[in-house]
Amino acid sequence: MICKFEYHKLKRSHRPFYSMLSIILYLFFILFGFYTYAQTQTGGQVNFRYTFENRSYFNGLTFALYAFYFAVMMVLPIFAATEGGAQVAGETHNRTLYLMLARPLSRSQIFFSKLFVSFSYLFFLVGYLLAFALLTGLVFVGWGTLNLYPGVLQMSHVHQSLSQSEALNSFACAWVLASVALSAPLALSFLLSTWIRNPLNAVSTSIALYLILYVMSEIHFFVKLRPYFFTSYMGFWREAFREEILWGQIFQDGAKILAFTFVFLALAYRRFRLREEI
Amino acid sequence: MESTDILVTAKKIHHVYGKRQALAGVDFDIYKGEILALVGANGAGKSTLLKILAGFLRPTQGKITVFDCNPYSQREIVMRKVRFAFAPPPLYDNLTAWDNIQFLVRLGLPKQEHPSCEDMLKVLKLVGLRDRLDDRVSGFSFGMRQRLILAQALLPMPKLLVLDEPTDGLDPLAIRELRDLLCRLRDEHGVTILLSSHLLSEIEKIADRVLFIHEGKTIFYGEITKLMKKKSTLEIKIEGDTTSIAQMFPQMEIASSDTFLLPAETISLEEMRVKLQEYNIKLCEFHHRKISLEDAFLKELRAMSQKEKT
Amino acid sequence: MKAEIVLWSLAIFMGFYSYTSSQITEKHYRFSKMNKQDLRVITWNVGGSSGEKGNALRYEFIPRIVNTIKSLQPDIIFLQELVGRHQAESISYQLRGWRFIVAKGSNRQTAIFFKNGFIRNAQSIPAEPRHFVICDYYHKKRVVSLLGLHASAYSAKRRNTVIGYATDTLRQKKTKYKILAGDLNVDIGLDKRHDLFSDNEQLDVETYNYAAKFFKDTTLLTGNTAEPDRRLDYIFASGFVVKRGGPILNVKTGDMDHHPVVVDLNFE
Repeated sequence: MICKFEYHKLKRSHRPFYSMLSIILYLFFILFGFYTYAQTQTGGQVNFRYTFENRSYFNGLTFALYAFYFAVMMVLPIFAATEGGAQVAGETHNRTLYLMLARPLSRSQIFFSKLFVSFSYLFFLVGYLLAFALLTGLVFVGWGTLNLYPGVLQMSHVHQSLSQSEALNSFACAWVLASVALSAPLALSFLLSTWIRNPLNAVSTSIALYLILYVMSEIHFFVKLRPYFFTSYMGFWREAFREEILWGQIFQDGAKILAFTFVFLALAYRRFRLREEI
Repeated sequence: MESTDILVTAKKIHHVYGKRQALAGVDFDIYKGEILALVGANGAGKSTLLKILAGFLRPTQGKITVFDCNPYSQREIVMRKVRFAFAPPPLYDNLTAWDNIQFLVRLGLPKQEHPSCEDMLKVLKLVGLRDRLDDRVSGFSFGMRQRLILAQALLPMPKLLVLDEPTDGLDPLAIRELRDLLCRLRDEHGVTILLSSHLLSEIEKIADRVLFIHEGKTIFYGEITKLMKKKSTLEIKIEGDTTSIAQMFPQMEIASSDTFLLPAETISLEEMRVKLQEYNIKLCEFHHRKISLEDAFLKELRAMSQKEKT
Repeated sequence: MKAEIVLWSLAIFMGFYSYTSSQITEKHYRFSKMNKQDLRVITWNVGGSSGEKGNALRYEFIPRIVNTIKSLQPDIIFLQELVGRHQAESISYQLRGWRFIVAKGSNRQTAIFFKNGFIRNAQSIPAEPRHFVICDYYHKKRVVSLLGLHASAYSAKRRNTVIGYATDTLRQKKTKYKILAGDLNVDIGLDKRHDLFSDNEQLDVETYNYAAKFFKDTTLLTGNTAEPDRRLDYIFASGFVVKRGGPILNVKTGDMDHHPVVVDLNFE
């Protein structure tokens, strides 16, 4: 019942609607960016069109991968932080948490139902973004073989060539793995929202903290600290885009991310369990 | 009163927020089937007391039990028997009145104990929101929110109902309806009610007992009728030499040149007449002046501050 | 309370799993007498990192290098940043008769040492910023073409030129077995999206790809070879089956900033 209630609240909050709209806008900008870049590079000879077998390096799958990459690192963590902040701090601030606490519900039921619904929602958003990116890629550019080269995205050490079906399988794996990766910022925002009772402050602090950790994990100066930031492992889903997937590596990085997630959640739950409602 | 009839026991409850003492040794019991009113000025500690009762706060000192359970550590058990209507009414603004009701009243209960749709409709009709079921709560007035929060607190029927400022924002007719409803709940369903309110005139009409708190301290706790009796006065108008009156009645208060006041039940009319005749004073008027709860509260408050000064 | 215990247990389990699995997946080379292979190859930049632009091998470190080589029992060693021929001779003497070839040119020289067999067609090929060496090594009735290289640390363009040139030179050799080893100074690690040590990451990636197109990177995914967390030392090979390989940690001494990289190869 409580999960149904949480789901109903989420549905009526309009957050999913605005998130989905933002994702469409994001994909539109990415597509536009690609188009203008390609036009500059080819001197205006770009011809984006629908085809199932696009033989050029840049095809719909490459587009989807680029869009997904930036979304998982920058866009979706913001949604995760917003969701975590809205769930606990939002209800505390609106005092609707009183309504739930004044019913025969344990704090763990409240906490874990919120967590479950938030994570499911995040999982859906990741899938939605991926599906929409693939569809946009198919309609506007056309799919084909996914060729990956060591480069800016650092998707691979060496050149990888994935057939269309292999690439689609990799995308399916990436959906699950990216959701696992995003569980860490979600758990972080849960932790902060159990401490900070104002949702605006909780969300902005979560986002700021994520960005700080992300930047630090990217800059070489912090190389000794990197293993201690969860953001250093957030790109582990990229390992799914290999001709031969190294599952050992994936499980290892996934376990690191989940270790951070569970630590954040344990601290958040402890705080939520023991705190007083002022 | 037997111990089995005591639903809530609070002993020497203290609560401190940082450096501010919100409650300082409040004692009270809530008996089965009564309406206990919790009265106090803003910042007196009423909300803190209700939060302690709900298990949202832990008392810094003292012990509170609700149905023999600690409300902080055994909140789920307590909440099966107690229902709260907080003020100002917290509700899910994005949901409709029906959504608010149907989800809240079923939370934490096994399916067989879920109130039926008919019950929910009945309660919504009772609070006058039957026609606004599908409207979003965000568009509700304060009074309508009060009604809705009350409606959710009535399902499933609790053993103890705690209402925080339930009359705020209600029109006079609704206040009267609420009064009738609370009396019916007590009389017909045996629901015990703890009522926190500023409207002392309403409390006077429905509450059996009252707990006055001021700056976290109890200034009166007991039956309203006893308090009113204690605080009501005799107004006596006389004709003749009034100098000896002070000798006769040391506790008297002079109201005017020919009128003085005595605490109620000090003396009967016949005794007064006889006594005054002895001093050759004519008794013109003898009134028993009833006091309002508001005046009684203010008198208690004054008495307490004087006591503190001395 | 129970939920909290479950969450903490899961966190500990995940942490423990990732730690123990990292022991398995991070394949730093571990020496064992049980290992059997046809050829053991080591590459090691033995220079130091102190001083304005670093310094070549210090004499006091030679015994340490010699002891390491003795304990690892390799067949071929590629060393970079020797001060001159006299250092190679010192190492050779302390290794009791190992032979070597040394590149000409600058004072940070590249050398190839070998224990058995013999060498033909040794050449020191001029390149920027320093020569690289190439030769044919005859061992166990087979001929292996060896190329020892130390590319520029500061210019991606120079690295691109020298590695491309070295790759082309080696692949033109008619021999079946080829090894290109040394400090290539390109780091294309997956988690280093903004490598501050490179002036042109993309060119480095292209450089690496060019070498990887013709030769197998034998120590791929085995960890970093230089401080703080860079992978700069490579052993590329063709015609071999890679048995095991990777950097050996905790061997470097003083101000050295590179670990030795070892690979065990079998002839195909």
